[in-house]
Amino acid sequence: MIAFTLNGKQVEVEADPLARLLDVLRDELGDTSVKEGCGEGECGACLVLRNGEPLNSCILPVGLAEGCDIVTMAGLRETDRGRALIDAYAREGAVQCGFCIPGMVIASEALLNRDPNPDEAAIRTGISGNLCRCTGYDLIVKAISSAAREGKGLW
Amino acid sequence: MNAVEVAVDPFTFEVKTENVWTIYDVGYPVDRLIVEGQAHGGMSQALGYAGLEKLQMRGGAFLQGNMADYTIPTSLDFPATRVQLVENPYPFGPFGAKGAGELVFDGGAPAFALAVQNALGTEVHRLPLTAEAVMTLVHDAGGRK
Repeated sequence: MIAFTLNGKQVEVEADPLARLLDVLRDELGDTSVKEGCGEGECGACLVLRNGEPLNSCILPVGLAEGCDIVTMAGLRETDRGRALIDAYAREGAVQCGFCIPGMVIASEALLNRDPNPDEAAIRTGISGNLCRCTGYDLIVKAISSAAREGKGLW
Repeated sequence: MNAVEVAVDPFTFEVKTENVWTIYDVGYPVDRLIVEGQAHGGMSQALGYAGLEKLQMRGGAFLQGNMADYTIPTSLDFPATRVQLVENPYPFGPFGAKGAGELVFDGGAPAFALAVQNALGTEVHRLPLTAEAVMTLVHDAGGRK
């Protein structure tokens, strides 16, 4: 049994400790907010927070989640910070196809937790591990800046 | 219309994109936010195609097999594109609109190539203009200027 906290709830799964956290989240725990893009740690679509640190769940063995606090988009969207980010992404039109967006929002949350008032260069660095093919990055950068402004005090 | 400003490093032959502008006439943009978003995304893809995305084939198979060696742009590769739409309602389209779609992808790469051509004073006929490609162009033209 591997036990960890998923979005604030205690979960236990019977899984090979070397199984990818991504697969356990999606297939065993039904959390499909985590997306698989490249499956090899390059694109960031499967980004989750482990004890607040952003990690690609496609290359994270579930054994390394044991006893940890895992946050995904499904949990983040229920929080004030998650809602502030979602509103900002919608307001700035920062979503074209949307496949990279759960990972982008997780990266945004991790960035704003570290630096609640980032400039454009800091935002671009903060999301540089997340690939986006069709939105481009300009409006995502604007959205994060807008979230930081409108959601002042949340981070 | 697309305009790209670049600087070429004469030692490493890397191309740095300094500024990017786009202006499109899509008739009347029915959903302005989405059309502008499409323009940002299209330009990002076009610049990747122009400057980064090397794809070679050998024996019927691609040599670039993953996201590590087929490199698409990250948020750090290009500066923000300045997008403008010309509101010019089209009498034959619904609500005055024309299509936008892949229009936004078409002009970026030629603009990037011409900017590099201007910087080098050497004709450019191939994409992508990676540092290796620029070095070869400069070498074939008789060395550094």
